[in-house]
Amino acid sequence: MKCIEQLIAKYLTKNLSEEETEYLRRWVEELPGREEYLRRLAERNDFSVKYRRYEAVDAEGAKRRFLRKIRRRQIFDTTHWAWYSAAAVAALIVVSVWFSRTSESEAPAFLLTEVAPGTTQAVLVLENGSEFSLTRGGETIAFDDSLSARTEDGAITYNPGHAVKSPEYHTLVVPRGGEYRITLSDGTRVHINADSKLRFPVAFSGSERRVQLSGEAYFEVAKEAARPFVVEAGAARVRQYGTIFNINTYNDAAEVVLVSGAIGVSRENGAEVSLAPGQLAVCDEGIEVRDVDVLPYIAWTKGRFTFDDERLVDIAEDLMRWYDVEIEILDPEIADMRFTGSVGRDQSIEHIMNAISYTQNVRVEVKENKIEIFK
Amino acid sequence: MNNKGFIQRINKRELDAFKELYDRYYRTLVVYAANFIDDGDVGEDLVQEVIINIWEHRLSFSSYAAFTTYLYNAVRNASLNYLKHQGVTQKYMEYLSQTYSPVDEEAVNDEEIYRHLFKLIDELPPRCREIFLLHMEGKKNEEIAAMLQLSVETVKTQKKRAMAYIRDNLDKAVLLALAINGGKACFFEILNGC
Repeated sequence: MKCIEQLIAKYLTKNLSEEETEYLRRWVEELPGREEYLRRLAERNDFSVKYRRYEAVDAEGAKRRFLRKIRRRQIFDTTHWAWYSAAAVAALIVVSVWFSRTSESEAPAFLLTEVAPGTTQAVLVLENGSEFSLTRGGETIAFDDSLSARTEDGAITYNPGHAVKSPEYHTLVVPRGGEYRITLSDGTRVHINADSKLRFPVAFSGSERRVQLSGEAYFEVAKEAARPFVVEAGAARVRQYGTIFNINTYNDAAEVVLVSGAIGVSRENGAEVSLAPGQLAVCDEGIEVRDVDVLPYIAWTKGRFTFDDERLVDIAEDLMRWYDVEIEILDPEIADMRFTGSVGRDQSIEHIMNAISYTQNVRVEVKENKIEIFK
Repeated sequence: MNNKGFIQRINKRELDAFKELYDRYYRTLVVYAANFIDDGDVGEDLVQEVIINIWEHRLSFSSYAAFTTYLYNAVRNASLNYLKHQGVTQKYMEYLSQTYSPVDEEAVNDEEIYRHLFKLIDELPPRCREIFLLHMEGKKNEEIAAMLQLSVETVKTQKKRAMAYIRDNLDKAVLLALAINGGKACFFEILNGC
């Protein structure tokens, strides 16, 4: 704001000091017409009427209309991608830039660049139903006289409690668009992915350490030879004695990947199958074991999406959970296209969508409140 | 956020900067358009088009002053253009374009004065704001007290509060502008009683 404008503003609100009045007087005398200008501006009623009008204008509504309008006209900018798909390796990749031609009623509710990645967030549910929202670090939660847990950025640690006969169970609920880490009272560390739940006793008792998982989690189990650690996850029962492994039950089958150590996988009351590091057990009607590259399975714990010849439908599932957004694949033949690539989970979804659309020349568009992928 | 950074972000077409543009300017521009056009809805549409045009044509600006000048003049031109198509008489058009001459980057811009003032008035607590506005409409302390069913003392105190808030913040705004632009001339003027 110019100096003289500020002075006039003070004049209008009758806020001038003597010195300032003198300065303004000299400014007025400098040029003809300035006096008349100032008089017109000082019309008190004008000032008030103007403000009442100003006050009544809905800037927020206008902002929303603006956003709707430009979203309908959004185009994708070209970027370079280190992605490839099996079918497109030898092919010349055609980069297409297009204008969306959606009608007014299908106006998208957001821009791809606005779809933010997930954050560390979780809700802790106690047995009595009370809930603690875990978004801030540096808090100590006292559950009762002897039991407490401490939060830090994105993680919660349970103090080693004293053994009780029938310990209370807590459930850590991580929503879509979230992830969270927990250290259980025995020192076992669990990294829990989006849209997942872990139910665990606040202190372990008896001859086993038993927890229940739905969704996906990465376990680093504290070694205790005398007390095996058992995870119940979907159809799978995973029993082990101090190892690192990843389980997910996002699909109907539970997938268990062993990173190091040794585990036994069984179905409920079924025979146990031993897993060696680098092996995947798919636990459904039966248990199928095969050798895999573990990296794509645990990349999420290192903050990355890594897809190795992965079907687009499965990639979309992953993205929906992490970005908490709806993705629809309109053409069935696209759903089975396979992609290989790696990208940070902290990137906006636009990066991944661009990568996908450029490698296979499919189109991505935001329609209403979801992302559509089509030919 | 400072003005220079704001313009850089507008030039880069950052969505957040455009949202901020709405916060900073939309209401002022609509009030400005009302000088030309009585119909508030038409005024709002014209202002919307001016902003959307900046986005769509990727307009960029060399300075904050150039940007504000553009905004006011674009709204002015759009308004006059609209009136021309409405078949408004030549005489009235002349009157309007003379009364509301194009905004000059160097000259005093009363719309900017209002914009700063209105922003500060907006920030006042509701009762304090009401008292201040009635005062600006020329009402006496006793009248205001009777209208709002308050004691004269309260009216006086609230009025003082409003005045002090506006004065202090106008001072701050100028100091901030100086810090950003390094405007030595104006700084000199301040030392001389500005």
